[in-house]
Amino acid sequence: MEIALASQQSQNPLRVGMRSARNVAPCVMVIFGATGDLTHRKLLPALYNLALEHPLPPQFTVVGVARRPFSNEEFRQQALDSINQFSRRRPVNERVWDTFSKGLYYHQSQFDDKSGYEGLAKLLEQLDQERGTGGNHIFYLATPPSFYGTIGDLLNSAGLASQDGNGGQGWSRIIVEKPFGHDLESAMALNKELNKAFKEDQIYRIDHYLGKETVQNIMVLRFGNGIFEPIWDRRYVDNVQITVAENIGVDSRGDYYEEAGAMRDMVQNHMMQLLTLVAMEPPTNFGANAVRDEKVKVLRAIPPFAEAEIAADTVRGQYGPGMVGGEVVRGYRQEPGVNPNSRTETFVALKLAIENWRWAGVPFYLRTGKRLTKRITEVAIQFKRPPYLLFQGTGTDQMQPNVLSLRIQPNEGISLLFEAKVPGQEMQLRSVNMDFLYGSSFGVEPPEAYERLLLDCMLGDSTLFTRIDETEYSWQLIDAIEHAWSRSLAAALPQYEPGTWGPKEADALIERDGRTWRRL
Amino acid sequence: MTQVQDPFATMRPVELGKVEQELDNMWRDANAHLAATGAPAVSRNSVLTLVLYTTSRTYAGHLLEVVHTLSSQHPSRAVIVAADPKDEGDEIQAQIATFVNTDTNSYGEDIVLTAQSNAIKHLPGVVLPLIVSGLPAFLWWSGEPPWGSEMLESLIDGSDRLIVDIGEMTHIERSLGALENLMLRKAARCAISDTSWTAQAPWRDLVAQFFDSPAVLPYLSAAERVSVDFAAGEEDAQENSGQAYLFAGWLASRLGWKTQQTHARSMDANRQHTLRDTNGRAILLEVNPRYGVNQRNWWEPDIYATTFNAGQDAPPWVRPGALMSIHITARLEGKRATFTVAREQDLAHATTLCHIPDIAVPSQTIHLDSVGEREPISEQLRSLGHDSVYEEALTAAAQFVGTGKIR
Repeated sequence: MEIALASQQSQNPLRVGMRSARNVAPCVMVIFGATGDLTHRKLLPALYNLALEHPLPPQFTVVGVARRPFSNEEFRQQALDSINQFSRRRPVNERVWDTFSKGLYYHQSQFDDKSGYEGLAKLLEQLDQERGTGGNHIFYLATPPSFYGTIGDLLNSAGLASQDGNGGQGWSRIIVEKPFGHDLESAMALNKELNKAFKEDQIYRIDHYLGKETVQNIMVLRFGNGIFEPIWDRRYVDNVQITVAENIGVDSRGDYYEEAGAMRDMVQNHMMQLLTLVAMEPPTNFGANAVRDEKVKVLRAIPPFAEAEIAADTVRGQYGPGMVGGEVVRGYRQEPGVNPNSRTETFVALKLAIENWRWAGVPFYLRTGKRLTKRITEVAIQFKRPPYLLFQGTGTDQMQPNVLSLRIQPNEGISLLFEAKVPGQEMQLRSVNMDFLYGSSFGVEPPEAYERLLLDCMLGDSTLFTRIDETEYSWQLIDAIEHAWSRSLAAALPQYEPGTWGPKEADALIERDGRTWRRL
Repeated sequence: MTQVQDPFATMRPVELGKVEQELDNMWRDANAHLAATGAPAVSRNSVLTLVLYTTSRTYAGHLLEVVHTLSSQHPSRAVIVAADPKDEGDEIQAQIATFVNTDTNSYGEDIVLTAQSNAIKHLPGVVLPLIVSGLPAFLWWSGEPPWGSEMLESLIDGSDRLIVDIGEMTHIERSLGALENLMLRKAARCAISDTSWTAQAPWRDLVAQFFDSPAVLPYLSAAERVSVDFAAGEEDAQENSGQAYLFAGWLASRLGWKTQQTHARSMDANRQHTLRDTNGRAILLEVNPRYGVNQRNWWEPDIYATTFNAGQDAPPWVRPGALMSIHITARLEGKRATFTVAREQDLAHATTLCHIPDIAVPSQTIHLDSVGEREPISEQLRSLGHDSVYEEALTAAAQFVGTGKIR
């Protein structure tokens, strides 16, 4: 299912009735940070997969920009290595690679060197002529966020940022990676910088979670079925639990993680996206703004935390040294790049309220962390228990409430926990799980999140990208917590054993309400 | 003498009247076994019933393998009918099996019905009760259907979709006409689709892509000549131009081209048709066989293994009558442009080439398997409704070969 509306319906009569009536206009994707890890692991393999599975037009062109003195050939070789190592369709298909690689170019430049942008503009003009890309340019900033403003400015100075592209023909779009700022103030400043060159509808803030099939399936499950939406509110839902757990530590990302922590790394973006998709009202259509309007309404309905509430409704923790799977693992403070006295959280649990008609009184519990028991991302809708009068004396106090769980990863799917009678003379009830698996269970590998998102950007469809007000509202919420935590430096930062579900305080947070975390 | 292995040897023979009951028992046994091993129970759910009709028990075995590969996407009840008119007798025998693969989460249930010649006419009374109530029913007909037979009509009436393959049919003039006739008569209750049509999707996409650019689009209505080449075997063997005509029918129906005149050098090959667009402008359509191309049915086992084991040194092959090249010539304001999609020698790739004055369009090579040329059946099971674009293409194709009905 195409979630987003066809934003570029073709005038071509041969496109009528085709599964995808949307067609990608010829364009150049300029990747800043072309020799970096993201380009190597994700972007080039994703673009190759799109070429192999053919949504890309023959004119599609990539220009890698970075500081290293690469030739076009060296960049192509790097791309080939990336694809052979990381593409879900590896090894490379040589015939397809042959034509795809002819569209790969490299431009050496410092990100803050004005003359480099002038050279880039000339190269793009040349490619527009030679490859028929029509002045359509996408600028992907796979760089540290500190370069976003500079790159935007210099693209603008080189005449590459205008809505209408070069000479009034074509279009320009810019994709920026998370984190978009590190708090509300910096996010607003960053946006102001970008807005000097690009209008909001040219800016695509990527959160790769939104490109995941199963995240998009949340909308399909809710709005494509008649049976769920009528019970998707405070009358039937007891609580919602969102878990994003990783079993690995920070590994080589200690430097980055020290600045981010679990709150900025996971909660502000991925978890807020899951929360808003689960809680939003039905949009009037699946157009970019209609969906994002509804998501923003959810964020606005989350009341800001008062200082006293932060102590009660938030828990943070940090993994200590220990053992996982029989192997000794370092504690967070012993990880490379991490301050030995670090107070950065590697675990967060939160209780949020959404004060609107649908969700009043329904708590949303969020937890995320590193070095937890297993890697799992799940949204669980826990329904209210029915009165069990009928089944008194049958051990109904041990009955599980009905739970609809949406597993994002791994084993993407949906399962429904419900009660059934155990066959026999006695009235005995047992919980049974009805599972439905997506993803690998379909026998075909779903496209990578980046494939979907890059394609959507080429199509000019920003539904699955984060709008600035979404970003700002979620930072507002996160900032309140972060500020409270930083003001009370002495506040507890419990250490937890690697391989567990985090600090005991997280259990206490939910148990105070007479509930428990789902055992995953 | 080579012993031919019965593909259904492990299935449980049951009386026709006890198929449902025995299937219930088998699921119960399967779940009891899983429970004993500590594995979670599997739910017996289906999203559709797939009735598969073939005249050969051996083919039925091959096709069943294909059905199993679909089961994780389309958990289904498969009713496989092997009705060999040469197998004399009055009997219909039933065999059943359930299967669960917890690794791939695929599961389903199979019912094989083997009908002897005199019992074939009674098949609807056996097959239709086995269709799961309330779920879509697909009738997949392998080979040429017995046009006009009561048995065919009854099975179609009990189905939501009839899936055929024009590439498996033997007399294209008759088949296209009969298929169109069926489509018109059964429109209210059953949609018709064709795995060859699905397999052509990448070709349609590549040709459409030429004209996506607003600068190139005007050339589409200035086409002068269209050549469609299709795979043929040896020169004296029977050819199957059905896919070529279906493709030409698609172009014509999208662009409003109507048949005016046909110049046939033989019954099934090297045909030229003069078409007229809505302004009365003439377009020459040529349908040509490309002899000596290795052809096989896509679902045959050795081919199927090749399909899913890319990189093996198996000889290249295509579906019978598969498209080999499309060539369009257009002239706009005196400027001549050509648009070509051609299958490569390895038969697995297609390359585009176009020459348009003052417009640069790089060549592009695609891997046809990667864009769905060889896995058409799964796609067929995804949709239920009518595909009006296919239906209009079929009507146009039937008109090209001179047997179509004028709507």
